[in-house]
Amino acid sequence: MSEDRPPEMEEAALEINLRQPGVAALYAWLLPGAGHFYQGRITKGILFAVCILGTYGIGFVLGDQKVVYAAWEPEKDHKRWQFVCQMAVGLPTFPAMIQGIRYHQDKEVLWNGFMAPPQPTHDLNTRDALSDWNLRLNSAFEMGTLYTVIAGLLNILAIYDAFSGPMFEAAPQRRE
Amino acid sequence: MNNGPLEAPLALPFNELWYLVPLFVAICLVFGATRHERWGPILFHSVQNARWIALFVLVVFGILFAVSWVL
Repeated sequence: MSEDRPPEMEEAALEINLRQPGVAALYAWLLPGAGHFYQGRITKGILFAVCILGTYGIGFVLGDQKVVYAAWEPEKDHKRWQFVCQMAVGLPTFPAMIQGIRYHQDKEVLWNGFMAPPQPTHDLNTRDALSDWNLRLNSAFEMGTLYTVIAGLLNILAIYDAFSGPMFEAAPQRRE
Repeated sequence: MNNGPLEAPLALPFNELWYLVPLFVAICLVFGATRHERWGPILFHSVQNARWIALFVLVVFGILFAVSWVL
């Protein structure tokens, strides 16, 4: 039966059990690949987990654990818009969210400043933490940021896939 | 905060272009996986995407190279 169908149509005819798509999407956000594991789509779950967490992990290490933080201070011209993309990776960015909330509430940051926003300086003779990171890490800071941002954007695709299944392409029409 | 001497910068050990290769692979695989359910078509689509991205990068490189040559 399946031999006389083109491969695209054969794949489109696959019935994929998405279970509860909303729950799968939530799992996919919390941990890349987890939504697919929940749906029993193990190989795709492994692919998403390895590619997305791997990309995020490489970026995090390249950036010396400084590149993922939540800060939004327009009055100081410091808007970490990259975190909007990074937070799509889910759980691995939760420490940064907690630190960001504490920072904005003027509370002491936790865990020895792990994933905390850069601390400002009030002394003109000292460098603030962000300048220090940029000076010390140089292009590694930019590269780490790029990796972690792309990991977040890729996980948005994975969340969509967990929610509604793959976007099969229509088989090309043959010209008569 | 720091007012002490600068620590040695952590420069990237390889040329920055090499760091785009893992990104390139991850993007092609994830994009392919969102279009298909089976490994065969996923890999096929990923290779096709990789070819298109490589072509695009080469064209941009060619344009920039030509511009820098003229200037």
